[in-house]
Amino acid sequence: MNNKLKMTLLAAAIAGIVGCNDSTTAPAPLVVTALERSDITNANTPAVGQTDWFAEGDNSVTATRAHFETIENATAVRSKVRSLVNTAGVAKNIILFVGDGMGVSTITAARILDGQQKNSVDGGEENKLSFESFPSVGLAKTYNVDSQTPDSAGTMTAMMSGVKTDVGVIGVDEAIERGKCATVAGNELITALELAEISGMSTGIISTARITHATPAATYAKSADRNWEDVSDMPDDAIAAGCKDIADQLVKFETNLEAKFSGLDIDGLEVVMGGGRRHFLPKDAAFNSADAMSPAEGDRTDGRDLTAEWETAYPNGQYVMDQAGFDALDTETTERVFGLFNESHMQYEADRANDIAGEPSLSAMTEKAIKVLDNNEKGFFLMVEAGRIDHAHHAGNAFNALSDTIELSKAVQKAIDNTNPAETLIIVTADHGHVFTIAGYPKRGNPILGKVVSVGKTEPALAKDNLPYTTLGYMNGRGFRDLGAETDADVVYDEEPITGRVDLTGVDTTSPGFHQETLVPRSSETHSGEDVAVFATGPGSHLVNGTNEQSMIYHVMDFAGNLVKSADAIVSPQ
Amino acid sequence: MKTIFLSVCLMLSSSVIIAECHYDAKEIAGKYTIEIKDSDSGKLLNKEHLNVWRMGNSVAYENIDTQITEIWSLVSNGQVKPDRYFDEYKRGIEYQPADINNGKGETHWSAKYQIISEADIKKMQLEKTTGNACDELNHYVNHAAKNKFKLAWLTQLNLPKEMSYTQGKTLVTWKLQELMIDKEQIKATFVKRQNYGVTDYADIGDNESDPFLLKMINLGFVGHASGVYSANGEQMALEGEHHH
Repeated sequence: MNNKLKMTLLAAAIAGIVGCNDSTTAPAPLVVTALERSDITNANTPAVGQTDWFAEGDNSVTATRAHFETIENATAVRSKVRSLVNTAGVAKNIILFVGDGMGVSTITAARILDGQQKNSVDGGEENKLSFESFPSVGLAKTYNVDSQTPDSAGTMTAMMSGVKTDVGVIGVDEAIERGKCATVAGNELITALELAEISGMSTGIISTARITHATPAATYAKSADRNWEDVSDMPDDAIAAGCKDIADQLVKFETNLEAKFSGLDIDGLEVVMGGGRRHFLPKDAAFNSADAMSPAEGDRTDGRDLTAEWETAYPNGQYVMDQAGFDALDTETTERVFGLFNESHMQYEADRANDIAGEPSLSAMTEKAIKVLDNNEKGFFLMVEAGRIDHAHHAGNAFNALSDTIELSKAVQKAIDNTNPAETLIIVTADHGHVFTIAGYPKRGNPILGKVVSVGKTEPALAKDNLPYTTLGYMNGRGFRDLGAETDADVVYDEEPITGRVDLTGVDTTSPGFHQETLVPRSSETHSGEDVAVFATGPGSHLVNGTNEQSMIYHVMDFAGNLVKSADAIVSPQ
Repeated sequence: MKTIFLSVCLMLSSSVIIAECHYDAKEIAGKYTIEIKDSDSGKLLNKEHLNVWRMGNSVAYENIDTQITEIWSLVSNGQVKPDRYFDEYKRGIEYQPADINNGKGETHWSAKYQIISEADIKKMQLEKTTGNACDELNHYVNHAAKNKFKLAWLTQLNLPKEMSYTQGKTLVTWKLQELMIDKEQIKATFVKRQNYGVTDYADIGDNESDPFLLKMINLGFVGHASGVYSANGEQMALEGEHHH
């Protein structure tokens, strides 16, 4: 026993707390308990201004029970016998939201920022993003087959196909060799979106990144390299061997899928919205749109205009490239939409006003997509990616990462508002996290983007180096930069990294252009390897719990929508 | 009196004809040397070779020594889009408009297009004009700027023939060594870079296994002799200007 512990016990004994069973003295209570509470439960009437934590938890359980009761009732209509847990295919619609890089710390910080932006009187910590009220939550292990810390290509392939694979490859299994076209054949994976398409459901994909970027690409493409977004990105031997670029595969989605199954007749993707126009246009200024940023907007070196090819293939479809075109869409009469709103990635939500021709928000795209897709009585499958959370983190800029997470939350709310909960499975998750931390001991309600101010204090706490520090930070990356009101996180890429400690005394760390400090200098901040959260509501959502491989998400969607069996009935009629 | 008047008219007419320059200032290039000398001793500290290529709404700064070429393009909304090409590796990085210079890119187009901005030239004092036609030079100084700026400006081409300014304890001197007007050569300079493999700046974080990106990143991103700028994107030409 060390001396300190001995002294503590001695003092306690003297005070009558420990071990002194003196019959002449009444023993002091061991601990001060909440004896003031009314009864055996912890239910209590909080003082004015205090949160009723007990009631809040109780209400959450009640809401969850009501949720499953609703689904149970829907199940009963379809089958008087089968129970919820054994009934596949209850979900008419499936919506998968992916916050690219939206690790748990990002969700927590975004929740607080959202609350604080709403001027919460409780500090913001009590706030909930829309999907945090979903009844089912689990964790997903994100590693790729060959990588402890994953990338979006491998993780999204796992989610969409049910099979984990290597880093950097799209829609193919681990037998692939990245960058080798010849290894693709025979290793292609069929995705949940393809199964839904075969089954006759409407299908859609949305991303604020380029629509040929890894996450959206994994819903429809098979590629030995995530970077083969157009033909100019591919090595000559891959082109010669017959591999197709990702943009080509998007536009040829219908014919490519039909070619895989004899006699299959599908109608193709109904909704495609995102950035990445450059991969669909020829490298020729004559094809530039009004939104062009480069002298020649397109990158394609094969002279093909894939937007024109799409319009030819779908004469009833609407190709749009700006806010005005988006606004003009009539969702009740529009058969299908192909929206390419930016030459490269779409803007950060906070920077959207700076777009040349204007572009819609993620929530607006989600709402409009659902209204187009739900015209099909057989239901729909929709994947929605908030693609730029990841980019803001890579740039070391929490403001934009959190702002885009809040916009994702709004998009999810649009999905909730525009679908029937009894027949729609909504899953919200991330492909991977980032090395993004919430640290120190800031007091309740301290600005989440601010410097740490300790409980009971009004001035920033000082670290061992006598300098203030922020609550949010990154373990690695480009480090500190104070770019003031700049709402484009990527400005930092023109600056040399400043890692280590900086005197933040006179810096407004809550401004959009503030980039958090970091420890390890790197050209860009990295992904992290920890698990990500999976939130779910609707039919099949009860399967989301515990800690599972990320590939389980596909299987949950398959069960909820009965995707494999429905598709199999089409391609293998009895 | 009439005779004198006619003579003046003839002289003016004649000077207009003489002053014509048939070079296309929108498609032209200049080979520059940039010398950095110790202000006190005059010792040469560094010498760079920079070719500035202009074609339409794009201008390329080709640094022969670093083999890094920056191409700046004027976007339809008035912003400036920078792309950076690493000639040794035949690879490039593409940026969003106005991402350079801390979001002030839109104000720097003329500085990129003609090396020194029109606004800065207007702040200077014209000492004299010499030469004619394509060789017409306006000689400017800026006595108000503590960096002792001097400029010999090719008025018909909108390019400096020579300029110098102090920067810290050094004297920086740009000298035009050769003009290039071959339009095919100019076009080829841009097309060559357009055929490089390019990576969007925002995708660097997802591609650090790319050996080029790793190496290039270690070279650093900060611009090299791309107009008269400091590392943080602020214009250097009139640094320390005295305001009255």
